[in-house]
Amino acid sequence: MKQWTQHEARPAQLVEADQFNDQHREFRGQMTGLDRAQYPADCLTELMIEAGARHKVWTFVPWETGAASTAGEQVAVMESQLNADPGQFRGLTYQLYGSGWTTAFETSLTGFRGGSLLTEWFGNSALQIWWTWTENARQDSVPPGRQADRYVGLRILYNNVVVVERLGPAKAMDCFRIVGESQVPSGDVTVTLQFSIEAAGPDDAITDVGAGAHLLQAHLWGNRVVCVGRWR
Amino acid sequence: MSRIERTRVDSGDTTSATELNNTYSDYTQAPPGPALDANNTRDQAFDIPHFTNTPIVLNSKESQLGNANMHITAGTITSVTSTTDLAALLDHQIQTAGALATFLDLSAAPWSLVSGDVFRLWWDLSVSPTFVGAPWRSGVVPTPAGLYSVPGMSGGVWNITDGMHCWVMYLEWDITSAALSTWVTVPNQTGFASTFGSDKGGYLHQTAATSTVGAWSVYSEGIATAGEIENPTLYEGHNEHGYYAVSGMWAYPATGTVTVYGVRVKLTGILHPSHLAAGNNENLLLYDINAVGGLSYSSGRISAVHMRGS
Repeated sequence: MKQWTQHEARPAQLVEADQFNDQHREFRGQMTGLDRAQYPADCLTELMIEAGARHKVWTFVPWETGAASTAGEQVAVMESQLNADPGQFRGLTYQLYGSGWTTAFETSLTGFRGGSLLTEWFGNSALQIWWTWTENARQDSVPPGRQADRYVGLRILYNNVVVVERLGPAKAMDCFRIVGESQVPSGDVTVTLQFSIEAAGPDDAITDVGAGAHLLQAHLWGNRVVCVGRWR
Repeated sequence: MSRIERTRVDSGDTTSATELNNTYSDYTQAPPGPALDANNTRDQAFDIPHFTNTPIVLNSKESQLGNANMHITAGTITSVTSTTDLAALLDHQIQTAGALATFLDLSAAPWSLVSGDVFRLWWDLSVSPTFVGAPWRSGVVPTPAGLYSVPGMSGGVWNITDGMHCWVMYLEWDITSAALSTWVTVPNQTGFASTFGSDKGGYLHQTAATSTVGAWSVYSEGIATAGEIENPTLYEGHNEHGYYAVSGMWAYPATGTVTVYGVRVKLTGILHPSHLAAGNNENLLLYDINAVGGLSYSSGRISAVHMRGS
C-alpha cells in the first residue's frame, strides 16, 4: 500500500522545508490519480465496468437480409420466380452465376477496440451434385471423362483479408460451420462472408426442359453468425 | 479533473455531523461534481485481481445427446422413419435406444437471461440416413419431388433427380417452468408443420436453428454430352452417406428477461425444397411423403454457455 502522508504538520509545530516538500510531493501524487496499489482486490463489480470495456458479442441470428421473407438466406444471387424451377429453391442458377467468390453477407462491427475477433458462421446449403462426372473435359481417357467436383467453398474476411477458408459441403443437402479468429486493430471491422460454387461442366444440363425452368445450382439458408471481440 | 480538497479528520480531532456529511457528499454526488471518477484513477490502475467474480461466461453446461457411445450396434443406435401421412406428421426428440429423452436439462438450476446477455448453444450427433431401393426415382407412383427433365442422347427426355431430399434437426426450448412440459421452437425457427395448400412444411426464413441432413446422394455415372444424358436408370450412381457427424449452432441475444429450463433437438423428414408461386415467393421445405427413408443415430453432445454480451 502506498503511503500518502509522510509528514503531517500539526498546529504550533515547526515546519522544515524538506518536510513541506515531501508532503507536497505526496499530495501531488495523490491528486494525479489513484493507482493500482491503492485499490484493494475484488473492488470492481460488474456495474462499475463500462459496457464493452472487456469484450463485445455481435449476433446475427438469423442473418438479416433486409426482408423478413428471406431472413438467413443468401440473396446475392436469387433466381426470379418466372425462371426458377417450381420444385426447387429460388437461389443460384447456372444462368445467373458462373463461379468465383461471392459475398453472401457483410457487416461492420462498430465499437471494436482492438484485439481478438472470433467469427463463427453456421448455415445450410443445397447443391446440384448430379453432374459430378463430365465427359468432354478429357475425352482421351478410358473411360472417357473425368471427375467434376461439386462443393460449396466458404471463407471469412476481416477488412478484406481472408482469415479462414474451407472446402464446404459436398452433399446435395447439408449444413456447415466455419470458424475464424484473428488479431485485429482497433476501429470498426468489416466482416465479409463469402461462398464459391463450381461452374457447370461442358456436358451439364442447366435447364429443366420439362418445366422450361432454370435448374438450381446452389443456395445457402438458415445462416447465423456470431462475432466475439475480446480486448482485455 | 475532479479534485476533492477538504481537511482530513485525524484521530482525536473534533468534528461535527455537518462536516461528516459534507465530506460524504464530496464523494457521492454525481459528476460533474467533485466525486471520484475516471479522472481520479491513473492509467493502468486496474488489473485482474481488482475484479470481483464477474466473468464473461456466467453459466455453462454439457449433456449427452442420443446414446452413450459411438458403437454402431444394437442398443447403441436409435432409428426413426419418415413421415408418410401429412395428417400425422412424425417428429422425433433425440433419445436413447431405450426411449430415454436426452436434452440439455437446466431445470434444476435454470439460467436467467437478462437484456444484453447472449445464450449460445452447440450440438453434434452421429447420424446415418437410410433408404431401400431408389425412393427418388420416377416410375414410383405417386411421383416423388425433385425430378426434372433433360434431353436424352438417343432422343426424348429423361427424368433425373436433384437429390435434395433431406431430414432436418431443429431446436426447441422450455422457458416456462422446470416441469419441462411446455416445449416451443426457439425464436425464428419453424416446427415444419405449417400448411401450404395441400402441402406441409416450413419457411426457409424460419430456420435459424435448423441443421440439414441429406437423405441420400444420387449422381451421374454415365456418359453425357452437351447436356444430353444416357438412361439414368442404367447410369445413375447412388449411395447412403453412412455414419457421419451433423452439428448445430444457435445463439440468442436476450432483449428482456428469459429463464431457460431446457433445450432439446427435434428431428423430422423427409422434406424437399420448393418455393411459393405467389406473394414474396418465399422458399420452403415441404414434406415429401412419396420419398420414404429412415435415419439412425448413435451418440452426440449438446452444450451451451450463458455469457454477457458486452
